[in-house]
Amino acid sequence: MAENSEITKKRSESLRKALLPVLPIRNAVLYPDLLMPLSVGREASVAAANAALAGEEKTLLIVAQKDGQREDPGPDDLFGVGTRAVIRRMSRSEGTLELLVQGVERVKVVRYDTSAPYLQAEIEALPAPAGEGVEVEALFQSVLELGQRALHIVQPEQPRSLESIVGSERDPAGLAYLTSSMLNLGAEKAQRVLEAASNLEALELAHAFLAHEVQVLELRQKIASHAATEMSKEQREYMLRQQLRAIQEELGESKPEAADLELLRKRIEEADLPEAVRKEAERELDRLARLPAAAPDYQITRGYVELVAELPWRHGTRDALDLTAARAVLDEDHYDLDDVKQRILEHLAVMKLNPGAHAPILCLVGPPGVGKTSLGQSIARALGRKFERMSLGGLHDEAELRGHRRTYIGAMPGRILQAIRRAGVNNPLLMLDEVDKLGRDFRGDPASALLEILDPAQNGSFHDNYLDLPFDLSKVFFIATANTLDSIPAPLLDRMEVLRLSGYSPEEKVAIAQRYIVPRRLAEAGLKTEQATIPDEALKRIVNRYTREAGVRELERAVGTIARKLARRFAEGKAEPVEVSAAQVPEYLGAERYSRERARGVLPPGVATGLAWTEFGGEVLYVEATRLPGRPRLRLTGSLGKVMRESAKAAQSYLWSHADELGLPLEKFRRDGVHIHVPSGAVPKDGPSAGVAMASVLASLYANRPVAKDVAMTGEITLAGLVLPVGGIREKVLAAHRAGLRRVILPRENAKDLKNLPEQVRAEMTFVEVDTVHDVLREALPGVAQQAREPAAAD
Amino acid sequence: MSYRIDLLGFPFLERGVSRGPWQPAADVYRTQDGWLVKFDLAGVKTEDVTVRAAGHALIVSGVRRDMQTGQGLTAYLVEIAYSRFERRIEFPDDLDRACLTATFCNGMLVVRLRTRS
Repeated sequence: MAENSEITKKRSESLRKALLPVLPIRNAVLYPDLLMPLSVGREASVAAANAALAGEEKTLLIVAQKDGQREDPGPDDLFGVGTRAVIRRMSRSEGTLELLVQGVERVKVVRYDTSAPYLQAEIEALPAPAGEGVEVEALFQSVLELGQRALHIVQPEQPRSLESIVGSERDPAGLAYLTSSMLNLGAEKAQRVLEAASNLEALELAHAFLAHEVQVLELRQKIASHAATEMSKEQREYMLRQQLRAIQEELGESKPEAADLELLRKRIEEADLPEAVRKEAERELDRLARLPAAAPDYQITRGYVELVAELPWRHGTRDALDLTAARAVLDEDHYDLDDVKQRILEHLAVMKLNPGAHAPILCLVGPPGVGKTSLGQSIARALGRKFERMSLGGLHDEAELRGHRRTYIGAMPGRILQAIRRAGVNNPLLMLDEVDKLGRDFRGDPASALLEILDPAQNGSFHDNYLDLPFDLSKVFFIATANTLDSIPAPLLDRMEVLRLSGYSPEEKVAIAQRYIVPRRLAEAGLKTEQATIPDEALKRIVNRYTREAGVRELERAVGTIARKLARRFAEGKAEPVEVSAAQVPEYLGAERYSRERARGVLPPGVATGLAWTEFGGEVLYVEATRLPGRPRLRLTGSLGKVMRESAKAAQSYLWSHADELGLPLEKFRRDGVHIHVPSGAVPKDGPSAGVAMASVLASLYANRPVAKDVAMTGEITLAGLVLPVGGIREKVLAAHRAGLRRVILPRENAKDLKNLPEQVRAEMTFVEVDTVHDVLREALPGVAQQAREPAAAD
Repeated sequence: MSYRIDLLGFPFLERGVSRGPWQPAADVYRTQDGWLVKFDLAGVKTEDVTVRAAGHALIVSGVRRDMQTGQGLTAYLVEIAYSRFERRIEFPDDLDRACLTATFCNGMLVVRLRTRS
């Protein structure tokens, strides 16, 4: 190319004095031999390009601007070294020129001429960078490799071989120019490559810039690929969700939450709700729709709406108002219990005449095992009502009945509403068992909550803390049960109609066993009624010798034992029916558990037979007194309660004050005390009904005469000597009868209670009705009686 | 005027324009005694063309000058390459001893190479 450079040299010299149009460019530098597309828009630049195009060779000077922002650069704004270039192609459109310029050689500007509308320059050609050597060779290779890497990153699909572009000439400066033009270096750096005097310098600069650029590119690629994996992870999730949705749609459960809500809304619509309740429910539903399913409130609100939809706001069963049928059902299930049955039938009659009447609130009181709970069930059956039962025993938290407010985690409606929800009707028969065993502590008093529930005037709008809407309980038939009334708070007792179920007599028990228990127990053991019979005699033996109770639970267990043993025999191959005679009972049940409760054979002075009532029925009670020499006081033992102690003191005072009338020799007792004991010592006893027994035992001690041994007695005494009526006459008389006592002293006013006694018992017993203590003593202490007659009559 | 380096490729190379001086198109024919080479060099003045042989290569170079450069002319489209050109064609024969004649005919430069006598 020696000729070429010579030509160039000559041309340069010829151009030396000539002026070339100058085209300033921004942010880039044109290198010799390389092409660059340019878009020319600035007025001065267009004029310069036009001037160049008007020349025979279309030559111009391309110089980079120092500051790319300058719109109208002057000579001072341009670098001193530029590139002489030719316009290879051009097209003009609307004032802008699209140029393709090609660099020819590096030139130095000798001077600028600003006389024309565009800038012109007088130039001087610069020699091409020179220099060779190992270093240049090594740098050349290194730059080539870096450039290749950059291309590879930028164009991974069809990497162009940089080597093929460089060509076989392997011009070091050319490579530096080529790689620099590939990079977005900015005018200043690009200009440094252009101005490099030697190949080495040009390559060093290009290498530095290229190395930096490759680093940036590789980093960018890393970031881009990272972003791509992030994206594909999101896309994967999206795809899976779409698939899940598709599956759910296939299964008919499109959008589970929405479907759930829709179902709830439908239930609310279908439920027969009062207007206010519906509004509340819909408000909660709307709230629910706005909550994400994962929110903790979602489940709470959902549970609430479900409850509202499920509660039987207006749905109730129709009462069966057929009195005859009801009576038949009650009789079928329970023996006797006439009082209760009468009351139920009365209520039925009222409902028949006045359907709007309040349901009664009953309280069945009686010893365990007499059938209170099962009576509730059969009342429900007789009325055709749903039966729900809840035990209040040990309940000591008001919230159990009324529920917790919904603000609490895990809040639930109270037991009352839960029972109603289970029943599914608003008029079930709700049995509140063990109402006498309600607890009470700092968490509140459930008895007070029951007041509202059981008050017909208030329970039309029962307020449960969870539901927070008034619920009508007035149609619910409440039946409470209790073993004793003593521990029921008075206001609560006041709201209920108390029906007493007393214990059964042995005869009644036999009848109950024969009619209900034996068939039931045989059936449970898999036996037919005709396969086994237990005659009354055998049952009587079981009742008397194997059980001691007011109800029939033990009896039922005993019959169950016999039934199982019979079942075993049949299972082992026995075929003919069996009759369990009274004599055979021990074969089945073992030795007799209770000996006959016998009256004491001999009563020394200072012992009397009293009668006690317990939750488990009546009992015979002996009151014992003895002289306590040298200690003038009354000592009372045997776990006696306050009332009983006071009645002992009243008896003592009465006897002392009426000693003369009664002819009691009290001299010995002026200095000596008396000790009264009531066995069994471990059983707490209380109540006023032992008053007459206390008076009898003291009189017997003072008079040193024994009390008649066949007489049992009960009744409260006053200081004036009157005998007042007491409760539990039926149980007490039955206990006396059981013990073989055939004479009972009782207050005259209790005579009416005797009609409750079984016919047979009544026939066997003698009842002495008394008005005063004198009457008692006359009957119990025959010796004292005659002396006592006149003053008593005087009373 | 805006300018952006396009790193994604070399657009100037895609447009059929190579680096360096422009290259005129050529046809090469085999003749009985050598070669006939034809160059498309319309508009080039005879005195502006240099034809020479170097080893196995025939090199045609020169410059094309635009004739339409008078006052009142404004270019709207320029596709013809002006300025310096060079074309180098390699032959199997050693051209240093060949007889070389060049003539212009209707804008075509015809070069005859006689390698056999």
